[in-house]
Amino acid sequence: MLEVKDLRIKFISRPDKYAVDGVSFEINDGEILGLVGESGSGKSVTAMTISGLLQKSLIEFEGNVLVGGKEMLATDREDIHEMQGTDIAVVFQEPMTALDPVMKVGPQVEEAIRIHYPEISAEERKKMALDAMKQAELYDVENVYEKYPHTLSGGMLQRICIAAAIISKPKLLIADEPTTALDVTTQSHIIALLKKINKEQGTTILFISHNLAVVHALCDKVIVMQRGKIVENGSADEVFNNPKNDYTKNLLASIPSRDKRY
Amino acid sequence: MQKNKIKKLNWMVYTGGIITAIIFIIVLIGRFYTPYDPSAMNGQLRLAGPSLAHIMGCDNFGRDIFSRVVEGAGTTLTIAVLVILIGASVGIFIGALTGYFGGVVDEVFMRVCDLITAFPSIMLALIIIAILSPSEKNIIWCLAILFIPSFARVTRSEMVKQKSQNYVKLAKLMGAGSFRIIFVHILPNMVPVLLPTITIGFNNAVLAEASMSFLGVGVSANKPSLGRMLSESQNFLVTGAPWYAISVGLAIVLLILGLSLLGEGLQQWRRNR
Repeated sequence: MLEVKDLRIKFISRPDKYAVDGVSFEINDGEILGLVGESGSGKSVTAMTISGLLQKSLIEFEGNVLVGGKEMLATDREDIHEMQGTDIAVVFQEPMTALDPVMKVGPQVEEAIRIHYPEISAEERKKMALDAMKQAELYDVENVYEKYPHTLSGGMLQRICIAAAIISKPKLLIADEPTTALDVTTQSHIIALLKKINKEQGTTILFISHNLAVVHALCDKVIVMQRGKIVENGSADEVFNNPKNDYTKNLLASIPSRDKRY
Repeated sequence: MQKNKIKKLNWMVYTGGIITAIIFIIVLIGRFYTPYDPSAMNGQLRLAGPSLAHIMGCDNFGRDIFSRVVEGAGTTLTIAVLVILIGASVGIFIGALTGYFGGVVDEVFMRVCDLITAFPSIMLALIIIAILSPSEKNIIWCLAILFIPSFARVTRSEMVKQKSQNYVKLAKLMGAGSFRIIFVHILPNMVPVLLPTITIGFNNAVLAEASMSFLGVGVSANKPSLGRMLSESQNFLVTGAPWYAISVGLAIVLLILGLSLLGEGLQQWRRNR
């Protein structure tokens, strides 16, 4: 589904250093891959490159990113626009700021359909939006549809974002730390929701997080990144129960537990 | 503290809004009905003082000043509305595009704006009108062009701020094109900034038109306009008919006061949000 081959990214403003340095991995159809690493390890840059959000004028890149066999790096803007919202969808870290504050949430859920399938009628589109919102486990959807973002809670907004992402049945869903801004209870609900979407729709998910517990709960495979490089790559159980790399071991040991006080 | 601020803001927006609304209603009615024909002369009432029949008195030709003020305010407001309509839409359009795309075009447009703003706008308008011949149409175009930079600047700077917001990124990730992002997503978010700018711009347009008419390059002589009436009335300020200048001046002051309060109030509302 997603294949990243020897990806190297350098920011023009920091020409001496690779932000992403020779990263290769692949995700098969229907898998959930966890991308873990500390801040600045290059995981978000990798995700942004895959989703086509990085401004080409600000970076230098080498390597290939294939989404469903289509090259993301070389294709021109039009083709990428075509894929964004249909093949690839993204869920952001901050649900509070990810939505347009002066637009009702319902029409925002419909956005991808409105852009990519203009032939679908307004009523049909609204029905699809309500369906997607139900799938994202929102209740009272008719009512929520008419609400503005500032009147909803963080968890509900993240569900709206997820509904907006899955409405066009994307093949690849990139979740960039979708639970970081939420409290633990909501976190576990969102994780369960992502798992459900993955199971029911066969959506491949690239899940980026620095929360190891969350990654372990959700992902099939895990990649650990440090300083732009992959230091460990394997199935979730392998990586968590039997880490080979020192950095991974340290990362796992760094999880605060209830019996250790600082 | 916070409560106080909101109270103050309400006070300004309401007072300004009410004054402006009353003036607009009177002017609108004046388009169809004025107590007297604004250009009907009556030699016997030459420079007559205020009375029940003529609440603002009569001018040097015996014309009813109140009717003329209403008619003149109508002329001034029509010009101001058209100027802002053209200036704001062109300015916002240019500012939005250059702010969003940036680059060389942005740089060039902003320098052109600098060039226009470098001259005192009234002087530039006077020169252009002097060359083109004074007519209502020329004044509107000339002022509209002079008002473009202020709108373009405000829009551009706000656009630069908005375009890095997360909701814009998300819209991009949904595959939305640049024009959809600019006009459907970002522009509605800029209304709190644009509203006070438009009100203040309107205010300036009224003043600019009045000043130009006062200096004799405004609308044609047979049409009443606040600026032209003020310029005529100064001849009688000391010699016999001070109410002429006072009524016209009062009309301008009220108009500007209402709009300024509205603009200032809206700006505070934006800051306090």
